[in-house]
Amino acid sequence: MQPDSDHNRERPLRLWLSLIRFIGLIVPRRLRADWRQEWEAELRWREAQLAEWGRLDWRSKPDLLRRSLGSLRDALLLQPRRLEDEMFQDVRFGMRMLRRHPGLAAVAVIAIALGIGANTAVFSVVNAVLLRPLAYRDADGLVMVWGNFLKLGLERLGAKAAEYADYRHQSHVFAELAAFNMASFSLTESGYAPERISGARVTASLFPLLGAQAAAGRTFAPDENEAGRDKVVIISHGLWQRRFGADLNIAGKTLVLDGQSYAVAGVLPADFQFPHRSFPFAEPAEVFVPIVFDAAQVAKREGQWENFVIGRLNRNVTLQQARAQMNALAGTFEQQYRGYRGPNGEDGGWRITLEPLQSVVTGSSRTALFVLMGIVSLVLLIACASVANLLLARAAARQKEIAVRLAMGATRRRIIRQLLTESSLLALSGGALGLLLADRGTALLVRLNPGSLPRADEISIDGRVLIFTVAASVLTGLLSGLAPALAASRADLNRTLKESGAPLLTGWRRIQLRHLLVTGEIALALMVLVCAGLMLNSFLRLTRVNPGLDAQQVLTAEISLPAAKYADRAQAAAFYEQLLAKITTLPGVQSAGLSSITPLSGAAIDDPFSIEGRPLDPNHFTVAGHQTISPGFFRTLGISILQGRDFTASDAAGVPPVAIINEAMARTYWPNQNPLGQRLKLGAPRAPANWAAIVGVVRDIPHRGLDSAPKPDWYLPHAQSPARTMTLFVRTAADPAALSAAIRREVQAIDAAQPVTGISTLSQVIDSSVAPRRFQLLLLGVFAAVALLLSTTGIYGVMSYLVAQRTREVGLRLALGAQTRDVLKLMLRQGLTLALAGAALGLIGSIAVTRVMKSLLYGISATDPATFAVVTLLLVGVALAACWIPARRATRVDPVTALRYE
Amino acid sequence: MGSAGYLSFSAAVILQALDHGYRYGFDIMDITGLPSGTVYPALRRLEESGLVVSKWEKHSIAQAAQRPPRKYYELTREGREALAEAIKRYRPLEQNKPQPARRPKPARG
Repeated sequence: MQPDSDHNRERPLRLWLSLIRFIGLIVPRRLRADWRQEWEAELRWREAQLAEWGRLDWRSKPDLLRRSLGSLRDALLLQPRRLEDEMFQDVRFGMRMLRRHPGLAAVAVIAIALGIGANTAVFSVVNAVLLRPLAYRDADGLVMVWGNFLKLGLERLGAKAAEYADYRHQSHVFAELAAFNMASFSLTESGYAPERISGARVTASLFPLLGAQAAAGRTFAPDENEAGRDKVVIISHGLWQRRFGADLNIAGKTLVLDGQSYAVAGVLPADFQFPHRSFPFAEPAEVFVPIVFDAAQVAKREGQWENFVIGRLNRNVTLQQARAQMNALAGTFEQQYRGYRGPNGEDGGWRITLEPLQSVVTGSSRTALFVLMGIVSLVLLIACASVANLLLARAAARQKEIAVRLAMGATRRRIIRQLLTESSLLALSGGALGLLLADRGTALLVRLNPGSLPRADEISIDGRVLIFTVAASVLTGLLSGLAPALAASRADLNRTLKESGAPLLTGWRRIQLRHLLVTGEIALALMVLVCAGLMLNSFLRLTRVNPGLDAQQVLTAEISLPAAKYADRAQAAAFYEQLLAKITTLPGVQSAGLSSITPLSGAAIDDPFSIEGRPLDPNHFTVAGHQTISPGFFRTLGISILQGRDFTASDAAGVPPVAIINEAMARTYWPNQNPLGQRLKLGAPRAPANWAAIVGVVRDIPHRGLDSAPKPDWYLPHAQSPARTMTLFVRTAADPAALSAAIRREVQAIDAAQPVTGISTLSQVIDSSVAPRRFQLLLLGVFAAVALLLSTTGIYGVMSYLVAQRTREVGLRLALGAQTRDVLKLMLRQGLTLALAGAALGLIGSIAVTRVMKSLLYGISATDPATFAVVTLLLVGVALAACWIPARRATRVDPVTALRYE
Repeated sequence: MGSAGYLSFSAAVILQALDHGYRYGFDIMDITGLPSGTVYPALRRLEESGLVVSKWEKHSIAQAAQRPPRKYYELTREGREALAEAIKRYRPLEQNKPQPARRPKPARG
């Protein structure tokens, strides 16, 4: 074979060899020569063989071409090698750089760790509270079904038994449906002190709906929801261990609840908890008994809206569709039955609403968590800007190195990647440290949680949190490294290389970039500080609210008489009358009283009422909170009586009923009139209750919490409308807590089986009502401190740098006769300009941002000028202080040294 | 590395071809019927995991044929073990032992 002639003859046809050359271009350079040679050798060898056999023809050439095309896949699959190799170099080089400047690395890693730590901690809370489904089977599909009289302000009512039956039979949106209502039972067992335990009456369908199976024994059968077969009980794992020593032969044993015997059917698994601990209307039940609906009551649609209804939507039904269907059903109720409209057909706004169980449980924490998440992302941005600034300073010092690399043929892209690798290394180290901080931080957070954070016990760092942390770290690396990398790689080769060792001039652009970063940091820090400031201001206002009562030296205790034993409410009245008489004679007791509601506990019952002689206005139903109290309640709590009198022992059963109203009620319903002597009653004018005459007006007390404006409330004497569950208030001369044993003793002297729960001082009750806010404030305060620290070190760094830059100029000025003061002013002015620019931007940002936290504030607007002003002054002041140190340094410059300084 | 458990079927086929003495990329393609876009990446992976080593052909031989030296591949000891493991898993391999090469044959007539 003649190579030359061969070459000439086949040149136009040897497309396969050109392909190899061409595709070889994308093979990593290190491998390229070998790669090309291997492919070329195979193709040429095959060619030569074919030619030898005289078969290099139209049939074999496409095959050669096809084979050479396969090299593209080979080349593509070699791509990771290129990245691997260079990335490895980058990482090694980056590590070396960081090790050589441990100070910078440490500061950057700490800044990032604070940012990532805060974000990871808050995200792990968001993850546990909002993102992770509840621990029930397919919990995402579970919804609560509420009845509402929207026009009466009565929302999230349960269902009457008849309504539950209608939901089951007339709606087609649920695959499963269950009802439960809450009860508490006195558990009496020989050998144990009587204990009040929380329980639930449930339909048998509840456990399958939740996907719960008994750990021992069984759950309920449907026929156990019938009277006569309902004396069975399922107990929680906790109770089983606590009271039965985890006895494996528990099934069939009996339990005495409220004096009645129940056969134990089963024990629930340890991880099962229902209602969820953060369900706002009830505590997790320790005993479950079958609910029995009274057929007569169902037929007459009587009974209370006391049954919680929980359903699982059909797979093919969206929440929207289900809502529409249930509303249609609500409409038929209004048309077909009495009781959904007023006596004259007034519209009470009856609606059936569906709410995902998850959002019932997480409730109002959603806004607070989103605000926190927003705040910590601002903190992370500040950390990014801080690190970017540090890296920019580094890049300035490394300009020479970079210029040399560029001159030696490194591409700009390669330099950028190198610098980004370094910032990513910092970010990942910071992220790892941040993860550690977050782990400690969330543990602390859970410990400090005053109970306002739902699902706190479920907070943990899981896979999703780890992914978040890694993603946040990578993003941080890019964010903080990109601007410095872009700036550094734009080096002016000629100038940089020509310059001799000493101070590197830096371009105006770079200084501008640093200024921009510091301005941004201050702006972001201001936003965080404003949020924290607004929370602090709200909190201070809240603690200054006069609760209208004297909570010092008052002990509270809850007593809940079982309905089975005190079926007649007069019995309950007698019990409490006897108790009060005993308590008031105890040594150290100044006065005592009872109420069906503890002030500030958040429990307030709003119900419609009627005023004698006033027609029902369908558009303005009269709704007010009401509670039953004993004589002495107002005196014990120090609530002043403004008009009329307190209840007395003569306001007994059988005499004309009386009532006391609060100021807000007097103001609302009898403006400029004397309410004394007016008569009102619970419910509609034709309701069976008796008219009660108003005998007194008392000061408003914040029943619903310090942060809610006083609403109309009225009080009924316990003797005339007795309740079984009451809170006892005792004012003592000495330490109230010392009295708790005596109170328990007196209660059990009357009824040995009667437990006493919730003993605490009234101050504690009030304090815990503001605890959630204090907790939020604490978190925001910590994040604000971090933001302030990061932005202050940022401005300090930049100022130090600027001062160093201008040493010569300052020396010259001083040599020419400038005063120290002038120099100081000159330097501070620069810092002030940055701080003010940042503050201005931050104020604009704050106005936009604080709007979302409106619902978390109390007594101030989201753009409270005083808060904005104080925070701005604080930040600018701190920024100036941070400038002061480097500025002072500038004034100490020795003109001679400075001028000699090259 | 090099556990037979991770061998794909095509990798096992390639190992077997090498075992039968087909040492060049194109020869392996001929005998296994696999496309070049599969054979080469597979060879590189096998080499990376130590089942296969590659060597360049002697320069003198290539020069005589007026082409660049070819690269040939050989099984390592681990490669042979991996192949034995893989054969156990992919029984059909045993039945489809490579037939004599379908190399281009001299022109007829």
